[in-house]
Amino acid sequence: MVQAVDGVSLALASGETLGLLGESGSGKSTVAWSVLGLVPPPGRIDGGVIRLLGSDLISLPEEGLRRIRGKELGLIVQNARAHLNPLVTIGAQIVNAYSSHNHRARSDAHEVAVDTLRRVAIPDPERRMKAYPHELSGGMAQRVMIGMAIVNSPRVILADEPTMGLDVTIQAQVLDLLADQVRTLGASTLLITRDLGIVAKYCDRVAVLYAGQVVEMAPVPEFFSAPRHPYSIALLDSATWQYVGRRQRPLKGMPPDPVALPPGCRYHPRCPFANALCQGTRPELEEVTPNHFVRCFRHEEVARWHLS
Amino acid sequence: MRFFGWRARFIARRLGLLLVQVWGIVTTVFILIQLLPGDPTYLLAGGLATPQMRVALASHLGLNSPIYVRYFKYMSNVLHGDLGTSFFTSKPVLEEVSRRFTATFELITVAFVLIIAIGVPLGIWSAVSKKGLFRQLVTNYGMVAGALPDFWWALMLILVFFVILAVAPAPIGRIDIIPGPPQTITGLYSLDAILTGNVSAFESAVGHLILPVMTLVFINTAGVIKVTRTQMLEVMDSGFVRYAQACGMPLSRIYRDALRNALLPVITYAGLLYGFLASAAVLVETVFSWGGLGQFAVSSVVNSDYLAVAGCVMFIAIFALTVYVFMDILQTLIDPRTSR
Amino acid sequence: MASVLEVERLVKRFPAPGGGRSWIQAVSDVSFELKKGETLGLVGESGSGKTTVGRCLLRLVDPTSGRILFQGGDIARMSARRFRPLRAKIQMVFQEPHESLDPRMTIADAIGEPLRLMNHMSRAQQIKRIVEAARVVYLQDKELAKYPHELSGGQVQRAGIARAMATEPEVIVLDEPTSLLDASVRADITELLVDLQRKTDVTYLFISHDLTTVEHISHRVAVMYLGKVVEIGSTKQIFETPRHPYSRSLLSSVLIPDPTREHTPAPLVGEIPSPINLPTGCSLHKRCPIAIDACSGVTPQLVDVGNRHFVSCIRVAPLPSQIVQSRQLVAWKGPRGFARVEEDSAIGLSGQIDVLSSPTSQSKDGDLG
Repeated sequence: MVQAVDGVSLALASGETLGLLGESGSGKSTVAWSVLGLVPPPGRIDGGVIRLLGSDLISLPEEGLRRIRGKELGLIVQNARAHLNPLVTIGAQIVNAYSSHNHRARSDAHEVAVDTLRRVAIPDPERRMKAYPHELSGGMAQRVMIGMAIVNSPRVILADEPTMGLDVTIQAQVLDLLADQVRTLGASTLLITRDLGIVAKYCDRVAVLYAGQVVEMAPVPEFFSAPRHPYSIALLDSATWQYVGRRQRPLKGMPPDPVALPPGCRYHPRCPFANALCQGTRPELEEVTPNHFVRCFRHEEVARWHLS
Repeated sequence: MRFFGWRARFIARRLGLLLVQVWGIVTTVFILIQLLPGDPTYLLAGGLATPQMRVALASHLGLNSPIYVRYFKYMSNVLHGDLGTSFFTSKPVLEEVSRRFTATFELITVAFVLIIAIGVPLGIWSAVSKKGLFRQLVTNYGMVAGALPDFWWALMLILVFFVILAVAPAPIGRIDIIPGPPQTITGLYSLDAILTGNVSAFESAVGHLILPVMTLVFINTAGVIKVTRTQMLEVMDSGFVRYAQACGMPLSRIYRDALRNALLPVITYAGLLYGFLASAAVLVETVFSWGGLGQFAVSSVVNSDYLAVAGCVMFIAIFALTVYVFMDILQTLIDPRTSR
Repeated sequence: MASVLEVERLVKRFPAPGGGRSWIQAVSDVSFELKKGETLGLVGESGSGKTTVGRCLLRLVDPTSGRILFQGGDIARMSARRFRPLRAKIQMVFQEPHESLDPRMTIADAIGEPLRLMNHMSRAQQIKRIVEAARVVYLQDKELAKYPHELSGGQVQRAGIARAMATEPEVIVLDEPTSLLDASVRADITELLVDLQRKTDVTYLFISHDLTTVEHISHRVAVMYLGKVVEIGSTKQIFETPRHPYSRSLLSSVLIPDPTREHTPAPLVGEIPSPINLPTGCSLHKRCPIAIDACSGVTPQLVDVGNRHFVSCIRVAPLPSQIVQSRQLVAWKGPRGFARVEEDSAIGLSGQIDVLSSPTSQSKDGDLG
């Protein structure tokens, strides 16, 4: 039994975008699929609560969940072309996404689909309805997926690295489009990424995931100016060193194997601040300044060090 | 019309390729015949012929002409439907082979339709259903059906249904002597009986079809079930199915769409199976005295009736190629990704 | 500084899929030079042709035309037999660490593979070189005996670098070596590459779309769009004062991890067109914010705008035989937050357009008469 995600608590306020930052092996993708209740077997949700607008999703029966997926909760994943049926036109797929939750005439659904393509800035939408996924470029396929996620005006959007692998200019286009749609819908977004530049521009708050746990959570400006977890500092260092010119605290080693987690703090083997307490005891997530949570015994020293 | 645009061109190209392939088969058969050792005049003229008679026969048959003349003559003969005369039966090869071919065709086509009609749904169900019992049954069936040879199964079925239970007719061929085969329109007894309104012939033909078809179905369905199941499982696990679930699509709807994806490789497998059955049914044909193509090919080989052998080879090869073309076309109609 | 490799008017075409007589112009008339001990960064997006350029240099793909001058000969047209001994001197590091190493070879075997194929070294000498190469990339001895799937992406990429270094090459072409790595590992590898260059004076052609890493590691940068070099200059020139509209758009799209900086991208309209049906004239004209009618007719050439900074755009860097016609004010906000207001000396067209100077010739020819 491997715990991919352990005790992650996130709260999304209405209309805000929360960034979930993590590298490979942090368990961030598992979070997205878990919210939807679609963890592939043999994985399963082992505990905890997922509350959407009051109701607990985990205790919901399958049919109830199905009604929420795609309607209140929209999902966008990376590599859109691998997640669309290659034998079905994109128009038909958007229509399917729509009519799974709305029982309207075929022609109505068709109009809605064309309109959706227009909303995601796909040129010549009527003609594109008959296109197949493999005929689209990466950026366009990603926009089609955004269309499928927003067609039913969801309250929450889960975006799992939506621009991974795309050209940098297309990345900007896609993210701007997403931000625009989110604003129009007034939706809350969980934006999963490993790119700090994306977090800086598009997120209101950020939660850092390491080895299946949230190690820091704070509003974005405060995170960048006053981080308090050693891992956060290492991440910031790795992302900004080219501007600073040198690396302050290079990050050595690899994330722990989920099967063999170290005792005490999961980060301590790589942490330059680790002491005896860190090796033996598990730190909890604490609120150290308003709305700023850290999971570290030595966060005071870390903050002091960063400011110097 | 957008649907047909490039697809039509693909189909036309593929049919063109078929013609080339058929030509290639015929040429290959010709070369093989030329390579056969021995002098056919010995057989043709008989044991009492003098050398002069054989020489005369050889020049009469054009056996001494240069190879391209012989090739040209052969090709024009084939195009006119003349595949030579069987040494053994003294009848034209085309007539003998096509008669046997229709017998085999009737048998394997009925068997094939049943194999697909039973195997594919069972394969899908065994992938989708949650009950383990059924899966276990299917797996065991697969192992058993494949382990024992087909002629053994045929003999067992005859034993059970003809000898013991006496419900099936005797394995003496395609039809009883009375009422005899119906008037020939297509060569397929059951079909001709329907077309000519010959009820007794129809009953007899179908009765005789039952056991050999059952044998073929029993043996080959296991493979189809397995392939369908594997493909279905793979598709159920794929990215787009997961994403469709994330969009809240009802599971039945998702699976219905995913069927197309899963069945694509199954079409290829089915095509290969059908083509293969043409010759693979030989043992079953023999046990049931079916008078089919495989059986005839074997006896022609034994009798050194090389023209008949060539004829059989040609028919089987062309049949298989035609089946493959159909499968390719079918695939192209379903899969928009096939290269244009 | 000596020139180690020169590329002159490289062209590579591929037949377009679906037959017919269309071609994909992957690389069109690309010229640049690599100086010893320096890094040239080659940036661009999909369809820019940068990967193809790298492959041509290693003859993984045969150029359609053009010259590649290396070690005293033109390797673009060389027979495979004559090129073989030169392969030791020009090596490549690939993007996908786990795919570029044979999963059935240990790391040591992988690093030693080029030695076995190219040099005539004794087994003992090979082993010594392998160990040296591994040490230089900070791979531990125990990792040498492992297989790629047992190591992390970063470690496998180090092995890839060690393998490239094993034959002591003059030039290493790196094709997106860090794109698939996490940020912290990316930083490690980049540092390692800089370190290696300092120690061994090896020359890099660094192909990447990761602009921040390119900025850090390169001495000169070339920007490619649809098979052509649209701008080339020192790293400082390109990143601080990009002149070509495409370069500016590209650089402005980079997201900086600083929420206090305002990010104002200058995107181009539409998407990158298919490399099969290239627009006439300048390939960018349909998407360019400062395009004029003349842009669809004239094919721009690289022109020196000062200090060996070359730009290929008739609006920004007019060719000598062109005359001033209209004026326009262009304001740009660069990625560093600087605002630049420029008056474009816009142009009209007349008569012959001569190729004035190419980046490989001496810059005293850069006289805009």
